[in-house]
Amino acid sequence: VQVAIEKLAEREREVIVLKEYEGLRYREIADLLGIPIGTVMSRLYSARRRLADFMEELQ
Amino acid sequence: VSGENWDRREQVRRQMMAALDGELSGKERAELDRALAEDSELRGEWERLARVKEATEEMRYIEPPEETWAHYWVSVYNRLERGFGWVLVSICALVLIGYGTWHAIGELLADSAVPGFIKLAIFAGVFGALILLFSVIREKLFVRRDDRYKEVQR
Repeated sequence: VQVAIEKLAEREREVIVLKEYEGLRYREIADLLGIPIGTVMSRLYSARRRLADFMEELQ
Repeated sequence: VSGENWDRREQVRRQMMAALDGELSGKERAELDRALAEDSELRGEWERLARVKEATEEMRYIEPPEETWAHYWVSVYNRLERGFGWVLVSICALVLIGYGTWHAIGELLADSAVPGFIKLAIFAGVFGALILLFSVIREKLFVRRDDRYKEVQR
């Protein structure tokens, strides 16, 4: 998983790290990065889709 | 895929994220369950994303070595320093270019030896620049206000 996360684009990696490592809520991530909540959700979606692809490749 | 269908799928995908992260209300959860029951493709996506969520939930943060932090802060200071430098250089360039242009146009217009068509061209250029400026400001103020996707940065 760590290897897959390192392969993500920076803006996708930062939302995953803030959500999963730091345990922040969407509102807090949005405020911290200065982006709308909808964008937080879109970036999380694309990050998780890429992670799924990477993890399947690695398996 | 029609525009409406695409919008609907985007909304379901956002709901999927909120459901995985425990940020979905009961009503929205019921909507999501209905959407997943009706669409096997979205259901497949949901199962895939849920597996990713399980895997990332088990991760633990490893504190990086001290040198990594030292390197990180040096890079932050360098970026701040260079950013400040660029701001000053840009301000200087804008002021000098503006001042030079203003004087050059003034002198050309005041010079009786300059042919009339050159003066007309200057007026046309200034008028064109004003139209462009007005057009950009109008777009920023009115067109963006009605943009349905302005809340989403891709």
